[in-house]
Amino acid sequence: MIFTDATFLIFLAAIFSAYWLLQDKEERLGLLLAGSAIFYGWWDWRFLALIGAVIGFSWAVAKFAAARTPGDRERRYALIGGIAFNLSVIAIFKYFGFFAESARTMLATVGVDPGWTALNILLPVGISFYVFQAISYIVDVARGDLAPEHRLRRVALYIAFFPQLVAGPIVRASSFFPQMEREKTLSSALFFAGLRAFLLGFAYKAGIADNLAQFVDPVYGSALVAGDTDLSQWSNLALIGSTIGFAGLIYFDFAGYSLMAIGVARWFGFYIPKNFDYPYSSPSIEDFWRRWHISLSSWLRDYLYIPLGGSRVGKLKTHRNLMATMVLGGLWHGAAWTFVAWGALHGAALIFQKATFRSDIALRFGIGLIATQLFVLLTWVPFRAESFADTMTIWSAFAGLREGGNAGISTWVWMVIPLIALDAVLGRGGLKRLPNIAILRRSTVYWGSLGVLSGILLALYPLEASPFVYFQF
Amino acid sequence: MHWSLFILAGMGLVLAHALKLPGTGSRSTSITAFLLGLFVTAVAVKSLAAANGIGRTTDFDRFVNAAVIEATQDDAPLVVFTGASYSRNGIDPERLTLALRERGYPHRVVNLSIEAASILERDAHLQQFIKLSDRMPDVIFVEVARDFDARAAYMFGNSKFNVRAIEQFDLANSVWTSFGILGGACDGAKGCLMDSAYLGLHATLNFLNVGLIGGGEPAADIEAVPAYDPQVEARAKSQPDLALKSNPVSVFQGPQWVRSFRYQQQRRLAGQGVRQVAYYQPPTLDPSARAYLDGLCAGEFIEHACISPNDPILMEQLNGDHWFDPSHLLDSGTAIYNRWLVDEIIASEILEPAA
Repeated sequence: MIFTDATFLIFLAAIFSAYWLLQDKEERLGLLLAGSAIFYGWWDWRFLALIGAVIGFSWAVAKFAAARTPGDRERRYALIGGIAFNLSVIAIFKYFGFFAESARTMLATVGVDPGWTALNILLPVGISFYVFQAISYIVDVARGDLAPEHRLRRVALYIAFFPQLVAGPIVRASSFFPQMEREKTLSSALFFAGLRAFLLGFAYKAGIADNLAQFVDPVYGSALVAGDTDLSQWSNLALIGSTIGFAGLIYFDFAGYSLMAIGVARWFGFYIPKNFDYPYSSPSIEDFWRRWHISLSSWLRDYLYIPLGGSRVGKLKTHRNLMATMVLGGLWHGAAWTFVAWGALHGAALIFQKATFRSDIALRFGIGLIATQLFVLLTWVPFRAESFADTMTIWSAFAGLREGGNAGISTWVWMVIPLIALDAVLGRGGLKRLPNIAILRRSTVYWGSLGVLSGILLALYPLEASPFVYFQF
Repeated sequence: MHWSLFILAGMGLVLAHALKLPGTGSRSTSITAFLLGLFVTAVAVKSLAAANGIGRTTDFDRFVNAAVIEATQDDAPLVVFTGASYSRNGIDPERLTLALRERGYPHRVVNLSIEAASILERDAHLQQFIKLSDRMPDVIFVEVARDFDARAAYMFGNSKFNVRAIEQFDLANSVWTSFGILGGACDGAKGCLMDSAYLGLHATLNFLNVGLIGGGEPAADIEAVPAYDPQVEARAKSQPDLALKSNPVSVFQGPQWVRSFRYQQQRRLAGQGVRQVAYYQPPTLDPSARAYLDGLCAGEFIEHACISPNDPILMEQLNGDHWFDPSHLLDSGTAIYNRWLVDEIIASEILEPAA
């Protein structure tokens, strides 16, 4: 059940109607929890047991820690145990095969055959997202930043709230818990705020991202099937075009999902902060990470970078912290060395920027924007490529160091660049500069335009929709 | 992929960013404005797609493109077979072309068949073939099968809400299908209700262009794939001697809705310049299905060439391991059937030999 499916829209309409028909707050929250269980179980009901274990353990650990005084050894052990449990869940389900295979390869290079074969463990959808939410809850309580929640179902709803359960944004308990207690009424402002976010997200995902897959998958191969690429046949222009297509795809796909999640949560009276803020208009890598997957960047900052010492520990250690954070952030995206390399490259760029960057010059001449976006584009290559060999082939195409095959892709892929630019201009206030934009608030014009938008989105909607890219993470 | 996708995506982005909170207004005006906006956009997108030859891409389009390549190789008169899965497995155009030429007929055979294709879907793709190839077939063989005559919305028994199902229910086909459902070409009262509901939904999705630009391509960009799908391994165990059974044959006409459709199709194709429309069905093991076409050949199709497989000689040759399943032939069965079919076509004098 993905947000652009008819099944989801029926499910959403049913939950939405029932939610606002109920008057009691507890009943409403209970309905949301039940709906979240159905939503998650739709993929595979067996995953419910795992998320249930994460919820139950995190709730119990936080409660145990909060009952101890700050500085108490047991409180510290509870914190470590809670984090270790959650990380072990990810380690087993997401990284076990990766580490086993890496160890096997390493041993093989020194002539040792360990004799094991990697287990093929099914990756539960959204595991990286909800485990991070669970960790943030435990840490916040253990640190004393957040009061423990005694009601299990509140913690369950926080971790499993269906709009952001499978692909974020990663929500903080300190922001979500008070919202559960607030009395909510369905107003037209709330409804239209949700509709606006949902429609924009739908336009991103179904209107643009799904249609870009045809430029990317034939070249890079399916993201879900290993070893199905043969880059030798493709021309250099096709490899570059396909990478640009992927840059557009991943942005519109993930930002689209996040916006739809924000819209759906809004319809139930919950506010989820934005996850993307036009990152392809960033003039520096630092700014890029303030605008790309904001909820993950801030999570890594608050729960990894700062606890490591952040930037208050001297230059070298700051650089070490930055690199460790980015490498682990890369690994979060997928169990492969190419993701680690992607994180390391961004870490190196952040360190380089911290040491050398002159924002005034870069901003004035637009050099920063071009250099940053070119760097981001080039680093999408290891993020999407199946191997380092493929990465090197595509980078060679960018550098013109490759002979190139004869196969090409449609030149329409270059239209992604004006689309991204248009989106950034519109999103960063470009519309306000247009005269008579207020006319869109007139009821007839609004509804007529909504009809036009619906007609456009239906025509763009691909009947064979692709799953969200970030589901695999 | 077509430029219109990016233009529409850009327009969608502008509107999605611009629409915030509506001012107050009457409910009926708002609903009217919404529906008007939706309707105007649907018509505009449909016109844009039609002008640029964009349709939702299905396997049938791939088969049509392969047939166009085949048909435009030379100026040989064309014989087009259009059917469902029976024909997809049972009509080997290369084999038939070769056999006809050995017998002094210069014709080229083309297969335009796909699983579960209703006569309406086949007719639409036949027209697409004529348009793209810019060639008028000399003779068109239209497959007739009881299942398709008996259920106007046959597609829904096979699949729903996919590209093919939505693509085929345009206005004209929806009207014909409604005509069939109203005439009882559906399975009982419940079946008729279900088919009507699905028809309404699919016709609406088709009218609203769902997936038309996103999943659609201009015909020229679609990959060409031959329709003929030879099978070499049976998926169901052969039933001994079933091929030898036969049912008594009575003379009759097809249901009113399909008869009317076939009549207007014959007239339209004749008006377009097709010399002959003929009817056929590849063999199946079900004797009653074979007897159905026999009845029609003697009734509704009395004035047309009609080749029924209900021939003991053919069925005796096919009695054995020539069946993919009870309704479809293996390649070995197709070879037998096609040899027999060429004899029947020549005997029917529907083709004109080389001068």
